[in-house]
Amino acid sequence: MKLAIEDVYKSFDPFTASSRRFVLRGVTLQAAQGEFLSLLGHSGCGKSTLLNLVAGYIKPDRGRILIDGTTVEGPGADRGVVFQEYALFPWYTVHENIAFGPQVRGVPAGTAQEMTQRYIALVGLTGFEHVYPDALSGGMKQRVGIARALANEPTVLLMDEPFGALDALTREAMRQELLRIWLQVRPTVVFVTHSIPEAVALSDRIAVMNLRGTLEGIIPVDLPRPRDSHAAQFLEYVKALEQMLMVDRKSSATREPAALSEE
Amino acid sequence: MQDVAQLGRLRRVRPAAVDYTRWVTIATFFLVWQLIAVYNAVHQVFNPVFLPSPTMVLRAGRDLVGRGVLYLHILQSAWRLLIGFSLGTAVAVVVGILVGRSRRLESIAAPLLDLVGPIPPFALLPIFIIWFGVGELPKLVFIAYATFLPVLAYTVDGVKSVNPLLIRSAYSLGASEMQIFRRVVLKSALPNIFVGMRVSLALSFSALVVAEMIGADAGLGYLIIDSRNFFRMANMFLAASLIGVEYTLFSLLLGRVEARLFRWRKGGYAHALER
Repeated sequence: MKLAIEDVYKSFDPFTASSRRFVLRGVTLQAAQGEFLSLLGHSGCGKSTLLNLVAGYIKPDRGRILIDGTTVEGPGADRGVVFQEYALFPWYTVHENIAFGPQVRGVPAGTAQEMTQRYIALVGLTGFEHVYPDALSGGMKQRVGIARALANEPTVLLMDEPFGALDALTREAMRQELLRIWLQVRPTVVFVTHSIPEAVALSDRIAVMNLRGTLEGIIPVDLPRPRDSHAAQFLEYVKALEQMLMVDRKSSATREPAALSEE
Repeated sequence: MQDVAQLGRLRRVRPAAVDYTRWVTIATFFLVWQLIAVYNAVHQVFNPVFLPSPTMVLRAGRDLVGRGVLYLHILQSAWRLLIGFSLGTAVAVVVGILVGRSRRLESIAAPLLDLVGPIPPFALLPIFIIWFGVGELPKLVFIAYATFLPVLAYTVDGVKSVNPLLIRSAYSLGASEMQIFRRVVLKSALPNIFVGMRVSLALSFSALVVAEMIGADAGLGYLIIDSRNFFRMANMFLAASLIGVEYTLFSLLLGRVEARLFRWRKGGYAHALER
């Protein structure tokens, strides 16, 4: 397994609190080499928290996260991250942003240059190398974000609602772009989204998270790519997922506090 | 991209029109000054010695150039300012980054700054002279000190307001602490640091003049005091004007550096609407 999440608990309440509310309660999940795994759920279900744990920005209260068998202790270049807000360095050009990873990791200048050019071409930004992020549209910014993360050739690519800030048309186009890039490079992807059709269109498997902080279920999507979002089979998946999420909303509109205990 | 380039071109046309009125205003100012001085020289509304005309100031400048001392004063002041200002800025940026990064250091530094900050630097000059003697050192330290506090405040603010998402993304790209510091924190705080430098530049010049008025044997501040002792009004006007010119040049230089460093930055009020 490229990525293994083992019985992870996370609360943002202090350890001293009498009853701590857990955002994640015993989540166990794996992703295989080259797999496209989506985390789907309502906002507040802890899917971004889980991604931040994998990225190493925050630490689990219990359980552990393994990348290629090694426990995650903090952020690192083996896990590339693409953010909803892009998080590009505004003082660097497109080229400099994408070259950042190879440069800081000490890749020789010539190789770094070649890698950067390759990933610029991959995401279709040739001709925009020397433009600053400020001058780019949202879709183009996220192309830079994806290329920047991929240029490091990470073991796992973590994407936190990467198309959440884009308009519907751009979003659809970027979905297809991501699919094309993924098929070409074949990275292991963990993709956080609250859009059901997006998850169905892209994923090998969809991990559905509920508001209690546990996994509602894991749905493998057995459809050949590219997927037609109007096909009957596609819509069946959408319907099934909608039902899973609807049930969840009714049963746990509020999250009651719970002590950290074996459940 | 086309739009951006065009926007730049459009913007360049307009200031030219503004510059025109600018020069008219400046020329009118000197003309009116000249007329008043000449009129007063003839009709003696007040003692003509009090207000030399611009041409008299120019003549005083030519005399000083002829005696070979004017360049000395100009260079002395420029050099002092450059050293003092650079020193103060460098120390302030280093301290500011350390303080801005650590909450504990900040809690130590903040009350100290509240304690020393309200004291105008000029109040401390005599103390500096007693501590560091009458040579070049107290002047440079004094100018550096005047520069230090504003740059420090702005640097701390800049470091504290770095977008944490950028730090996260740099860590995930494999950057070390040092690389994050240089390529993210410093870059992000730099616009703030430059605002601090702009604020400080005016203070540094004031500090320069005051320092040169007290116990110097060269420099434009010294020229003012020396001319006062001999009641050479034209020389005083000349020295004051030259300080203004030096300030303008330093300010322009700072602006040039800023424009080069912050090409990535656009926006703000001027870019909100096309007018």
